[in-house]
This record gives sequence, structure tokens and C-alpha cells, in this order.
Amino acid sequence: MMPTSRFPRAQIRRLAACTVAAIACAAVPCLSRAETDALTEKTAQAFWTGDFAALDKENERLKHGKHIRPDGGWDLEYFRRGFGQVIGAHTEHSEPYLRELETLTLQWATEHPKSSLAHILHAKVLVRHAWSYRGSGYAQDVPPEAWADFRKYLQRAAQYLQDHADVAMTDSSAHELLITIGTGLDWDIETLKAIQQDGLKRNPDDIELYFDMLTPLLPRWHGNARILDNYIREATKQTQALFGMGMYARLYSAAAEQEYGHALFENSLVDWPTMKKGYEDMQVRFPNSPARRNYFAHMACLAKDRPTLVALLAELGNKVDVSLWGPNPERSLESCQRWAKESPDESKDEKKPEKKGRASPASL
Amino acid sequence: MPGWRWGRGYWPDVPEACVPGSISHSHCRLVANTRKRENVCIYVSAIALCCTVSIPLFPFLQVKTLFLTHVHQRVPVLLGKAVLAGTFACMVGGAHAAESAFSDDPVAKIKNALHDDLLRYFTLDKEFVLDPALRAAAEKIAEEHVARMDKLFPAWIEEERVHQSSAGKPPSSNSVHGAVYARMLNELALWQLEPGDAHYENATLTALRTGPGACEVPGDPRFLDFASRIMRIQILPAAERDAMLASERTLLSHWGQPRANPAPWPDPLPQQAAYALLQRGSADADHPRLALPPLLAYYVLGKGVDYAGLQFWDRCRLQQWWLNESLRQGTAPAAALNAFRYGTMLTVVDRIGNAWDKPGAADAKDSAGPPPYPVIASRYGATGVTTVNVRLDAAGKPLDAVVTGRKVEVPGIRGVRPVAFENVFDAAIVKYAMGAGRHYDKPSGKEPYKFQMNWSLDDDKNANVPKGAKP
Repeated sequence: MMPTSRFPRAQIRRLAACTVAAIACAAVPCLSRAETDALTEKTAQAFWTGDFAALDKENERLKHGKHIRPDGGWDLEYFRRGFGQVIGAHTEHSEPYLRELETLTLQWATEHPKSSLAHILHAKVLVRHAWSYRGSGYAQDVPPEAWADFRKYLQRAAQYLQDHADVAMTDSSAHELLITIGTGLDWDIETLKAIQQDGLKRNPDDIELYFDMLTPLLPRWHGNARILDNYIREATKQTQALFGMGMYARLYSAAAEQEYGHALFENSLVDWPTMKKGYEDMQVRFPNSPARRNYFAHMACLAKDRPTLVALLAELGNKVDVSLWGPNPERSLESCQRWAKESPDESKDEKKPEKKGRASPASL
Repeated sequence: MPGWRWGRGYWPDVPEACVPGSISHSHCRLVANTRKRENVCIYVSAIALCCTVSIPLFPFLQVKTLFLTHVHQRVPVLLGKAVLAGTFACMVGGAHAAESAFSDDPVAKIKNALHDDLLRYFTLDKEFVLDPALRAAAEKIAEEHVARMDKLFPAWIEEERVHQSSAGKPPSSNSVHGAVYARMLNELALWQLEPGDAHYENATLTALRTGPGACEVPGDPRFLDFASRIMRIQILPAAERDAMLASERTLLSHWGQPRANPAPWPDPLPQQAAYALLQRGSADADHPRLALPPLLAYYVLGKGVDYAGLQFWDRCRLQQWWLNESLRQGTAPAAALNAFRYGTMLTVVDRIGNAWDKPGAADAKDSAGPPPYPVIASRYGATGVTTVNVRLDAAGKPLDAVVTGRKVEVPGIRGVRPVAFENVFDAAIVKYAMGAGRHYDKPSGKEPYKFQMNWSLDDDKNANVPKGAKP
């Protein structure tokens, strides 16, 4: 049994702070980054101290069933975040650290060959190793030699999962990982979708699979606005029973976070009334989620829906979480709050749709 | 960054006013700070007023106030009892200065002070999540042990008084208290090293082999001796508990009894062996070894932290990892456990460290001269001889230095090795042996260069005499 030791926990909290969002947080819009979740912390603590038995037990509990929280978050995602904190911890010497994690997870996989988690963790470390070469910057900033190592480690991870598919691929966490591997290796969209659907067959409640599949469909990867929109509508339909139109809002919010930023409503095919309906559906089903209300308010601001923004800011009161307001969140929140306070007349001009110039033979 | 602990982790920095000879100052101010690490989030400080001249016989345990600073908050906390550092500083500091007569009243005060101090080692932190039945049983054992020691302390005090009186001069109460306190610290250390019966040894090994949480014990790391043992029992199946607790009772009953000397210090020390192995690089087919748990991998490999830089819990984790690795390598279980016990034993160096050293004092010393006498050793009157092996390169430049022999004597500890004090000169002699610009006249090739250092307390505390060829 792992005690709730305040000292190791404190140490681990600090480690967590250093790795925030580096691995798993980026794409999921329903969670506040300012929060430290108990399950994430417990998972990270068990991983830091090498308590594989505790991790495996928790994975077995979570890999089937809904495990959805009252705010619409899901335990499996918080659980996976704990791994990200350890594997993605920033160090001065990442190579020996990652090699050691590789050795450790391989030892676990050898000792527990029937554990899907053991194999998945090993593959996760290989993926992290790959990204340590790639870095998180623009492609043009990646040294040419690093691309080879990046691909080599991703291929090793894919191969490892394939070699242990009989155990690993019974767990949708493997599919979730394989989609990120395939995205890095430029696998075609149909292959990735097939992996996603296979994962959903294993665990129809693994909501994260919908978010993972979003990434390769973004224009910066291999998609475009149309492909993305089709996918989001399809995913919304697939999850309608549970979330209503909620997935539409969440996936477009994720798309804003990963690619479109403040230009979501200019550069994508998002439809604000549908997105708004999605948030409303989520609020009906999962009313206690200040984090999602923050996202909703931010999106209302981007969509220039002042009444909705005003209402949401009033509802939020002191629960406004600046970290959830997009890129440059502090300024983003400021400007939205300022705009919300302006009288409708003051910003009348802003509300007029921009006149677009057009050349036509008639004007000649 | 990581590496910091919160809570009662204060470590004393004793200003000049507390050094021997200055005890007659109206106030001896003890400033205790946490050892700051990079990006320390919580800073704890303690200011204790002690050693008032109005209490000539027992200038200690007059701690009034402790200020805790938690992030941006300052919260005054009345502790009521002396902080350990205050006790150390004032008691032992006073031992050299206040030469007051011995009477019955001081006996009671010494006894009470020893009781308060001992209690700290046997109090389980409230945050220590224990099975309630185990906690209750452990607390009962602790209570019984402290009660037994309370009865024993007067005899120890009298024995020490008689011993010191044999020198022909009436001893001061402080010197008696210091010696008895040293004896108590040594009993703590001997207890950590003593093996139990065969069942206890096997079960302890099982706990350390199978319990990744064996080191996750909350509390002030200077006082976790008892809690660490209870944590190991909690890891074991419940069916083992009664037998283990019975063994703990038996081992505690050995306090104050004549004992055989413990097994010798492992050579090399487990941490040295562990680091040497890790420095060979990652585990692979040619160099198989157990992988480190991620937290250790993070600090040791990812951050390059040496053993001295690890905190108590990480040291414990490293020792646990090394125990498992050495068992994997074929080391006999008894030897592996002995190494673990030495590796995790809390000596006075771990409990007090260089708290009494004046900042920079050691650095100011002439590097060609003898090393400075560790203040903690002089406070407790520790003397002795240390033997050092220095590995040299072809030019006679030191590559590393390892203490291979420790023969130490401490007032108050008789008939058994003063294991709690035996490493009190280690850091000083290793630093001396590896000193910047140190060159050895006779490089000895593959064989390490060996020399000894005598540590004696006479008129000149720095009159340390290296034996053998001059480095």
C-alpha cells in the first residue's frame, strides 16, 4: 500500500509542475490546467516510486467502463496524465533518464508479460524518447539528423506494440498511443481511423480516442477544414447518446487550442450555434464544470456572441480560470471582459460583418 | 526544482554566540534554517532563544518561539518543547563552558530532557497513513520503550557522573548530559544496525524487495528511525505483524544492555558501490542491472545529483535499490541487509550535520595544513583515527578518496563501538585528501595510496597528525 506521504508527494507535485501540459494536457479542453488532480497525483507518485503493482491494478479498474466524473471529465485521462508527468519530466540529461525508463518499463514488461499496461508504458517511453529528438518547435527548427532518430524511436514503439499486440492491443490505451505514433510517422488517415475505431470497440468509453484522432486531421498535419469538420460531425453523432452535441463543442475547442487559436471562427468551418448547443448539452448533463464554462465563455467571445459571453462571465463570477482562455490567456481574457462590459452601441461597428472586396466584370 | 521537503525540516545554523566559551552571553540565539535547495517553495525558519545565563546549570530547553514561514505566510507557533537543534546547540555547547556543580536537580532536568528527545524518535507522524491496529500496537511499543528508558536514564547519568568524577574533578552537569546524550544517540544507531532473528531478517528482506513504498515515511527525517521500521512491517502481510512487532520489542529491550559490536562498515559503502555501478551507464546485455525507479533516475541520472545532494527519502530509495541489485548480483542476504542498515543508519552527521560550523570556516583553512576539526566532533569530544585510501592518477593527482577505517572514541560511550559517531570525520578527511592542488609524492599505480589521520582534542583542536607519508 502506498502511504500518502506528504514529503514524497510534495516532491512529486513539484515535478508535476515542471511537466505540465507537455505530454497529455494540450488537446483536452474540459480540464483546468491549474488543477492538480488526485488521481493524476496518485498515479504519478506510484510511477515515480516504481510501484508497478499499484499502477497495473488501477489500469485494470479503469480500462473498462465509463468512469466519467460529474463534470464530464473521465478518470482514464487523468490516470494517463500521471504517466505523462513522469515520462515527460524535464531533466538536464534526458538521454540517461529516458534510457533508464526504457530499461525499467522493459523489466516490468518482462516480469508481467500479461499486463497490457507494462507493454504500453514501454511504448510510451519510446515515444517520449522520439519526441526528445523532435522537440516541440517548428519542423524547420529540428536538426536533420534528429528526424532520423525521431522516426527510429517511433518505429520502435510501433513495432513493440505490434510484437505484443495480443496483450497490448486489448487495451484502448494502446490504440490511443498508436494514433499518436502513427501521426508522427505520417500514417494515412484511414489507417489511423481504423486504429481509433478498433480502440473504441475495445473500450467505447475511451473518449480520448476522439481527441487523438483530431490531431492528424488538422491542416498543420494532413487535414484541412473540410476533413476536420466532417470528422467532428461524425464523432458528435457517434457520441450523441452520452454527450448530445457536446463532442462538437469539445472537439472544435480542441482544434482552436491546437491550431486555430483566436481565428477559429475565421479559418475553420465551425458553426457557432451548433457549438453553443454542444456546450449547453454538456452543461445539462454535467452541470458542475467551471472549467468547461470558461471554455464556453472564451468561445463565445471568439464567436462575438456578447450576450452569451456576458451571461457566462456572470455565472462564473470568481471561478474565472485565466489559464483556459486560449493563447496569451491573460490578455485574451482581459479583452473579452472589456468587450463584454462595453455597451452594444459602442461596438456597433465591430459587429458589422467585414465588407469583403470583390472584383467582377460588372464593375468594369 | 524538486528536492525540497516541507514541514519541520529546519537545520540549525548556530551563530558565534552559541559556540563553546560564549555561553555566558545573555542570550544564545539559535537560528535554524531549512537547507535551501534550488527553487525552494517553502522556507521554514526557527528562531529560538535559549541558554539564558540565569540558568547556569542547564542552559538549554528554553526555546520560546518558533516562526514558521510557509510560502508567503508567517505563522508564529508555540512549540512548548525544545527543538532538537536547540538542545544540541545549548547542551553540548554548554558542556564545554559552564562548569557548574552537579546536584540532584540537574539529574531530573537531564532526565526530562532525554525523555523529550527520545520521544521524538518514537512518535509517529499524524500524516503517516498506517493501519489503525498497527499504529496502536506500534505506539504501545514506543510508549513502553520510552518508559523503560525513563527508568534507565538516572542510572546512565549516575554512571557517567561517577566515571567523570574519577578524573579527580567534579564533572559539570552539562558534560554529563552531553555524554549521556551521545550514549542515547549511539543506542539509536546500534539499534538500527542490529539484526533480528531469522524470521525477522527474512521478513525485512521481503519488505524491502517487494515494497516500493518502504521509504515513503512522512515526518522529520532526523527522527524517522522507528517509523521506518513500522513502515516495513506495514508492507508485509498482516499475518506477519505480530511476530515482527514481537521482534521489535526484543530489539528495543537491548538498549542499555551489553552488546556485541555490530558488523563492520561495508567497504565500499553501499552508496559508493551503487554510484560506481550507475556511472558505468545504462543497463544492457553486457552490463545488466536493475533499473532505478523513476524518481532516482530523475535525480541521479537526469539531474546528476550526487549522494550527498540526495534527500533522506531518496537516499533510502537508493539504498533499497542497491540492496535488491546486490542480491541480484549474488551478495549474501545478511551482507546485503547489513549494507542497507549502514546506508540508512542516521548518525550524528545526518541528524546535525555541519550545523555548528561557521559558514566558510573550512574553506578559509590553509589547504596545505591539517584539515579543520569538525565542530560536531569537538562538541561531543569525539577523537580517533581515520584511514583513507586515495586512488591516484599517474601524476599523483587524487582521483577519489574512500574512508576505509574508523576508530573513534566518544565520551559517554564505553564497551561498544560509537557507531553513531564513526563517520564524523569522513567528510573532512575526504575533502582534505581530495583538496584542490593536492599532489601525492608517491603515486602508487593501481594500488590506492593509504594514509591515516589522527584526530585529537587537546589544546589545539586542529593538531591533526597525518600518519604515513605526507600527502
